[in-house]
Amino acid sequence: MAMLRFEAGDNTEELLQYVLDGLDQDLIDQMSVDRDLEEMSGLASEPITTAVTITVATTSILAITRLIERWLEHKRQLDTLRIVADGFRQSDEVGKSLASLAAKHSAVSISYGLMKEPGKAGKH
Amino acid sequence: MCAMRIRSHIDLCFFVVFAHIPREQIGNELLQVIMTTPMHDGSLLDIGNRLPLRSHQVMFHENYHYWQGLRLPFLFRYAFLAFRKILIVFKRLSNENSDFHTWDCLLPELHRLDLKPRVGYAPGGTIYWGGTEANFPRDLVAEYSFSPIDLLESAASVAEFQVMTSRDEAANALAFSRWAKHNAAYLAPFKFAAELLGNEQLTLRLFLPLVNAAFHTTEPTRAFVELLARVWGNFVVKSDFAKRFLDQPEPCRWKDVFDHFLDDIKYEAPPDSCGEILGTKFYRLNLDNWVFSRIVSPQSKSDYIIHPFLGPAARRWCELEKTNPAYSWLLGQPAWVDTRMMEGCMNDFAPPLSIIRFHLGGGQDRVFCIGRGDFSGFTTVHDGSDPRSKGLIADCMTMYGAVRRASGAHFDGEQRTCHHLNCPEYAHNYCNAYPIIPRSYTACGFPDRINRLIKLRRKADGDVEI
Repeated sequence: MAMLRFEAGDNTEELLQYVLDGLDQDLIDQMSVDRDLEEMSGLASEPITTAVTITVATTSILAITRLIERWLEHKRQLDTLRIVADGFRQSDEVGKSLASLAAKHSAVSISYGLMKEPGKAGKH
Repeated sequence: MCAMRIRSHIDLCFFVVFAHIPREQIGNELLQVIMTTPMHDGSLLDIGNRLPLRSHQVMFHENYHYWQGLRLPFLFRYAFLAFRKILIVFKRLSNENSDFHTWDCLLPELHRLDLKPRVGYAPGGTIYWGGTEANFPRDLVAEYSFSPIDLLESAASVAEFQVMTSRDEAANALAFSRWAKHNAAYLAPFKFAAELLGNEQLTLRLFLPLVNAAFHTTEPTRAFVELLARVWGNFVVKSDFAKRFLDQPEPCRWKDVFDHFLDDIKYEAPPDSCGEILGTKFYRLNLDNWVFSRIVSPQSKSDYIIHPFLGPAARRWCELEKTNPAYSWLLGQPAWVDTRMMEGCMNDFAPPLSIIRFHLGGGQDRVFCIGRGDFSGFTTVHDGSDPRSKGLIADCMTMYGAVRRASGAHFDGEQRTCHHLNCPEYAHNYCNAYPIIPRSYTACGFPDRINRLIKLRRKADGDVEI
């Protein structure tokens, strides 16, 4: 399994929706989607997504990186898109695809490594 | 950097909805309506079918929170006591210093809903609950931490799914999983329960009645865990009873099951033992006891108020429940309620006051107050059409905004109803809940109103007048 985590500021949820809209239902059913939500600070408030972690079979992750690339091409204004990837090597096709994203778009930064497991111990 | 987005929310002390509609959700037709409707008369604002689906979902979600305030004794009691506290603190601060810009205070009680105990479970269905210092065993399968607000949010999200989807799929775990991927929602307590029970389908069936039952005690997270342990013992461990019960189609009588489980819990004190927000023992709460309570004026024993935004509606719901039992399980199983009844509740039990800000940018934002305006909680003004009722609402929101700014309780620093950056009050943000925003800040009534209220409550002898 591979994990892909991304943060795109106020556009994080929009990017996730774009990715989900571009994937087959079967693939969506096979992957897990975990959001980090902004703290509520005493209010019953609308959830605001600050980061998304997608866990999916390594063979399927290329479809997601392609959608991210397409979204970036359509996006006129973007402050930052921070991507953390784990579960494949930088020399793999997916790794290369991510590296090219960072090369083409100055707002994109990529890092590789293990991520914390979402949803546990004090987190939503 | 992008400007921080202001979030829509319902305030869990006053139960007023603050809705923020971003520019990208405002189509041309809606723009035309909001630009031509006078802001002083929100009743004329017709936005019902002009908002995108997501905004409708947010509206239902906030409505459901309002119903939680009407129906869950812990929450009603909290709002009732917190409302009283706000009035007292405004009086105290007024007496301490007439310049509200310097107000600063600590109100730990008003952070009660944020307290996050730890919960965890070990193999074999053993569940743990405790504070940060509690010793949990090392072999926990999972540990979470969630507050009463997290439970309320999780329940509102599940209700949103169940009402927005077809009835056939309301208890379908796969449909819920798909919905949760497409919709941002607070689901940590749901995930905890589903992991512990090892069954998302079962969790989906019982989650709302479970959360609702937990809020019939002074310690909802503890009760949630106690009730969950009983679910594990009765429905995960195989038995003829479990099979027979679970083989029934929804809606099952979960409310009766959890009432029975609540009877089974060992409490630390008799029901409704005290009127404190913090430091209470663990005991059971009765809704009627709090819904029919009232705050009596110390000056005139015959004058009283109830919670202005929850009280009248909560009383009406209690009366309706006596003749129509469906009202008693609507909150727990909303997907299976008759459509006409649900629509009736959405209308009759909508929050009495919603402040809707349309973010147009360029100093052109528009703010409307809408709602049915049942403000009979102010016993001195029974008639909602009486112009004085609007004044009382504005007074309430003025006092509340100032106290929450001074204390930081129920307060997000980004929360504002106003967009007038050049106003001298903008940076201070004591006006964060003020509902009447004119086109020019020079016409704003907030400064005069708060100073009048401070003067009214300042007395030479410093006596407290509520």
